[in-house]
Amino acid sequence: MEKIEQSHIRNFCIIAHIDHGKSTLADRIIEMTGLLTSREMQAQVLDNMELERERGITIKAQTVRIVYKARNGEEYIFNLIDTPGHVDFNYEVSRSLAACEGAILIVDAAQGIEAQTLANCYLAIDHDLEVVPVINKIDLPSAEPARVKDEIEDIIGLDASDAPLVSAKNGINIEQVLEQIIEKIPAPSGDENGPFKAIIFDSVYDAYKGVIIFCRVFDGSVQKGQEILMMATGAKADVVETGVFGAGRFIPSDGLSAGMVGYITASLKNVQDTRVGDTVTLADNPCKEALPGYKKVQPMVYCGLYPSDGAKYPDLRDALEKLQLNDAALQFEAETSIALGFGFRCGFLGLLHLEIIQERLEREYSLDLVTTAPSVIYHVYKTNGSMVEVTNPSNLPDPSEIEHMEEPVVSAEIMVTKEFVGSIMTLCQERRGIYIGMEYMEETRALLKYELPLNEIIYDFFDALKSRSRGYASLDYDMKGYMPSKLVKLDILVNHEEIDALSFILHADTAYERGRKMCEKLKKEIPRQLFEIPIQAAIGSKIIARETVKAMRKDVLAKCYGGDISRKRKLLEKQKEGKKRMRQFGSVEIPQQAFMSVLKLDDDSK
Amino acid sequence: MKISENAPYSLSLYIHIPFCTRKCLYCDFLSFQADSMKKEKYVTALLNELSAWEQILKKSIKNPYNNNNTGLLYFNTVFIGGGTPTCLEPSQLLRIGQAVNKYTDENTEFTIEANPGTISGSHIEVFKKIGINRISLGVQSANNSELERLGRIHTYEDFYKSYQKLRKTGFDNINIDVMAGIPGQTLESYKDTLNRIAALNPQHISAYSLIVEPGTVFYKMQELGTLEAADEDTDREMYHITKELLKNYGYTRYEISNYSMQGKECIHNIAYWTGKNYLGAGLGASSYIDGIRFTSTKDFGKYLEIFSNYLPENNTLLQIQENINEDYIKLSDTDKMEEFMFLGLRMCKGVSKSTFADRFGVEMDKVYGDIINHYLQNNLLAEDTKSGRIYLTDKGLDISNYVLSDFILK
Repeated sequence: MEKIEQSHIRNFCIIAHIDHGKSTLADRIIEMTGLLTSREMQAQVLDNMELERERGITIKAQTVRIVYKARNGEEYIFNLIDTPGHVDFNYEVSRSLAACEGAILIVDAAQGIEAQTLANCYLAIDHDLEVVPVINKIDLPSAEPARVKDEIEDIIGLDASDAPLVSAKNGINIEQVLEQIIEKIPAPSGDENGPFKAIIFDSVYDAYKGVIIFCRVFDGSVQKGQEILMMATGAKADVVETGVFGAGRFIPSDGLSAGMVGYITASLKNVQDTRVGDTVTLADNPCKEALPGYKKVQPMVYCGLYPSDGAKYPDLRDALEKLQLNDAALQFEAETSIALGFGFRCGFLGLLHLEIIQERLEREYSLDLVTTAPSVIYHVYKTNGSMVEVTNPSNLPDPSEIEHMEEPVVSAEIMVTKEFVGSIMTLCQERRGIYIGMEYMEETRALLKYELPLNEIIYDFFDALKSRSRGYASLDYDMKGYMPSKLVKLDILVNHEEIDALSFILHADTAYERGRKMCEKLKKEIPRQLFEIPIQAAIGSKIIARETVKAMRKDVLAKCYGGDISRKRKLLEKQKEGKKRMRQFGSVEIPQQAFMSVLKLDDDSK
Repeated sequence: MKISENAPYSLSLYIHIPFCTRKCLYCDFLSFQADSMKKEKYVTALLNELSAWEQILKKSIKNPYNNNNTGLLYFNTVFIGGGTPTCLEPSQLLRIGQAVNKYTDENTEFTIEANPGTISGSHIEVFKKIGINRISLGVQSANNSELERLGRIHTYEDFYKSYQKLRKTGFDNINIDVMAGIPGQTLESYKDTLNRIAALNPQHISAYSLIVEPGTVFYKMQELGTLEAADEDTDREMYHITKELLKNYGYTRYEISNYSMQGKECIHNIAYWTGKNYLGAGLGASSYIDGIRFTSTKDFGKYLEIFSNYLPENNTLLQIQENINEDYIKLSDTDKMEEFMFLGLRMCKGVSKSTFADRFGVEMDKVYGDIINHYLQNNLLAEDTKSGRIYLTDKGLDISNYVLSDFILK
């Protein structure tokens, strides 16, 4: 097997805030290296999932290997390891970073550093990566490269004096970036003859090849036919193929050796066996110890997913199983709701992860879903001394059995321009935040530090944050731990019947307000029916809010519009469509929309 | 010989006149202001469209007795509506009437809509000349401040004069439109309107409640919160007293918002509700012929362009095709069943089970049994077992859309 000189390998990733130009710079780098014809270039090589392109974010890390002929005449192998760009995927980011020696930090020449950039940058520095700052979008009229350089030096403490000023969009100064990668980012320096040791930074399921492990080799080498061992999960399998990443395709290789980034396929059926962060070694000659930093990712947010057509329950299960093949963080188990029938309680890394899965189920599997209010994991300490974890409000023990409850709290950092500090602090206060401190990053921008209950973040905190800062605030957070809290379960009764899918757990102080808003919202969402329908919010047996949907008394198209029957037909068809999207609860019909709309209560207050 | 006796099938004709002196604030019909030149161009185009249809229909209608088809085209009913047809000059209406008269006779129900503010003596003369035998007058209210709020161009006194003039000249089939739920209207003023109108003894009264439609001035006012709409309770009360009050004057409700003296139901409207063939001529008019629904262009300029020239036979089909907009649909059997139900149930006597079975070759209960039973239990539908008819109860009529939408099968 031909070994590639470690001195001619550079492994790095790109750190950037959303929209600061990560994918575009990656495209330019791939173009400049000349391995691809421009015809092969998709608009954005890295983001090749349909959904990602639409949302402008990268969900699953992808990686590309390119060959660069440097000014000194030598050829270098670059492995550009892509990282997901959202706080929900912090752990994945950290594992991608662990596979690199360096990182390119892209900062928007107009917007400067954002909270997320900062968080990822610190993460990179924590992993001892060499960070190479690059200032992008210098072609914008509002670009202020000098100010942004100062910012990088002041806030992060990186030397930005020779940071390339580039326009990834227009291909300006890209070569300077490539040269700095060679100059500044260290080459790998693993033990080529030691036992095989590699870190998994991603794994995907392919219908033909089975699980494909994306890994970075630190020591030793691996070849087809050898038996590999995943040290944390203990899974073993024979290597079927090894290879490297072309842009958008797999290029088989003779093997993988120290310093290389590539893939391994083995006879593995499930990504649960090949968890991100785990160490791969050889079964008959294992390395002494696993690489540090592995943890099994745990969902933070739960919600119920139900097919709107009950008959689609098996389809939903199949779809979730398929998605799970590729997404070790997705968890689900069957549950039943009186209101919604058969469905699944699913666990996600965060709300974005939830939304992505929901959208993929709807788009790729054509499922029409009803989602219940997202919930965090509550720790319920019972009077008998035991503790239960509750993710579904319906499973909350009887209040008489509860000694106290604890909820998860995060340390949040919010970066915001000075003018919005007040409104963001108000928001954090409203969401039961505990003020920790504030640092001015420079004259105009501040970093606010708060401890916030996770359940206050998962509803519509991002939206509220954006709308109250005209889109300028950015957020990063980390799990801090559990704190005792005065929590209650709020129930919604429609026509005196409890709708279990609308129950949720919240802080007692916000229960009245929320109960009132829920009732108001439901009143708008539930169409009038043949009789009067009371909508009530209750804590235990105590009613805290009430609205009434009056009985339908008039629904008539009096004028017949001449012979324009089509108009009449369209009206009735629309009404019929609306009826189809209703769910029957006893004698009341509730539109599915109602279940979703109560999750976004902040809309009205703006 | 009356041509109606030999007519091979019934056909109704609707003619749309899209002009108004001023648009009422609640109106979302296809109508606008126009100068006399535009109106003349429109009349010319309309006459050309009518003759294009004339050539097509005469060819397609087969006489079972001989091959000479001429004269067999016959209109059961003609309805000139708008807009305000009386916005046209009497001479223009005369030309339209003469074009139609070849295919009508005294058995034809020939209606024209008239705005009380625009009828002149010479209009009435033309009505007589072309065989118009039914007038539909929109008064809406007997209260002048309500009329003003609606943006009507006439007072109650204008209406009263027009009405008396029509009666004196021998018109004995007159409809009057009244409206409930006018902004600022009280139950008392509505009752007053109904009493005063009914006391005039018209043969037909259309009483409907104001619906604020998108695209109207009222809609905009509603969004801005400046529309002083009648509250729901009052609106319902108005609706309910209508039937009782008009009953005392000898009117019977025969459709959701239509009341008439015995035998004076509007045949033209009933044709719409019972799936009869009708041809719509003029801007944006809808037609239903041999199971096909279509609508003409709503683009005034385009309409004029298509029909500005009279084309001789053989070239007319293209003209007509060009005029039809995207709403061209050939009804499937399912569509026809749905329409049989949701149009037929608008009428108080409802739909006949045996007619359904004859027409579609399947029992009504087989298709709609569950829905019918559901609403029979809710007392929104009722069944007359003797005549085999299903009909909406008064309560069902109130929320007819809710019930009728369930007769859509898809």
